[in-house]
Amino acid sequence: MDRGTLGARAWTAGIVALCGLWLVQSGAADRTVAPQPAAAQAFEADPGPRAGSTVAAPLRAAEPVRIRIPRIEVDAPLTRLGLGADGSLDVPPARDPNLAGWYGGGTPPGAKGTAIVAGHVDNAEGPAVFYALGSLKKGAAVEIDRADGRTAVFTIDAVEVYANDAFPDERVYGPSPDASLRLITCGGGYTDETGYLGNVVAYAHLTGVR
Amino acid sequence: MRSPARLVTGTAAAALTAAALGLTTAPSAYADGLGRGPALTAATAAPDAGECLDSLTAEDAEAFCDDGAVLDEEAAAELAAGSSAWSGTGDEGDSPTGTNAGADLGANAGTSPGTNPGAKPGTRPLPVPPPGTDPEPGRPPSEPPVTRPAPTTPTDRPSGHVRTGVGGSAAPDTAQLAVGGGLLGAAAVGGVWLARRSRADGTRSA
Repeated sequence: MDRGTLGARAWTAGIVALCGLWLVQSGAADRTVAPQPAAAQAFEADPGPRAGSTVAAPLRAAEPVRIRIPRIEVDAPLTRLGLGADGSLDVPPARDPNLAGWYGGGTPPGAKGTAIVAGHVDNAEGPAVFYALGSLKKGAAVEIDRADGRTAVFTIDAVEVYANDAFPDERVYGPSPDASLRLITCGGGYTDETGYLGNVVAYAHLTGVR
Repeated sequence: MRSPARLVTGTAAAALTAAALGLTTAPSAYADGLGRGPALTAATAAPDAGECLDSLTAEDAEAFCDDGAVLDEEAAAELAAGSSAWSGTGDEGDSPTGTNAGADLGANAGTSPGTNPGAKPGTRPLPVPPPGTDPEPGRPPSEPPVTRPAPTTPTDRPSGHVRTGVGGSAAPDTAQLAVGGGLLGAAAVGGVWLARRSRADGTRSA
């Protein structure tokens, strides 16, 4: 065997080795960690519309049908959620990764009060509809199509993360004088024993109607 | 302080009245008042025992006065109020139910109010919430009045965190790992073989 053949085979072996390395490395990748909100995205004081942002007049109540968050490429239908036996908000079926839910016993998005929308950060197969919720920044737009044909446009006021045992019910679910919206998903770290350790909550208020 | 006998008389009177009302009004009305009714009427009926109540209907008054039973106005008013409050709930039953319920009350009220097996907590219809607090979006749309209370009330809003993740994002891909491992192994074997060949060739040519 001449040196040229040997060299070609060595190159082939090297390339095969690199491909194998890449496959092993990417296949063994640990769980993807959903982005978490930075401290700068939290409210500086009590929740409310950001200073200087417009506050649109609330709409009449109408069923929401779809949510879009262009900044994080969310475009998903909405299902109606109730409460679990322990009073916590039910969640959409985890099987469908591209499905969010709204709390049907409360304020519909766009109406006066605090509307609540929840979506999975992931399911057994991988990232789900609100995977990137924690990467939203203040000022991002959230659009909700409603059954009355109108689209309620909300603007993010803050994104915060809370430990499960320190979830601020009043802050998140409490009443609002405006048409407010809360987007909720899991976050705040993860362990195999306990699952997600907290929730990411994005606060928004109605700034426009189309 | 009244003698126990009179207390019992008053209690029995209240119980009988309740039984009669159970016959003539909605059983749900009776059942509704049961949780607290017997205790209250027992306490309030006793002081004024001895008079017949004017405000009762002729039949009611007859029924009780004939037996020597007496009823205090307050107790009657309470019972009446209790019955009217629930008479519109659409839960009207047939009279046999009322009779049974009344009999139960009469038997039990004197000794152990509230233990009547006919009174099952939670079986009565839920109170109708005050107007304006129902945030149901299904109702005809209307512009919310300025004074409307916040749609979410502490009783019907969620509490606690939300379980919106299972932590399954990108679990290890075993098939990909196997292929990658195979490629690595093949490359290693090939590399070793190539190295030995190379060394052998080098030795020979040198």
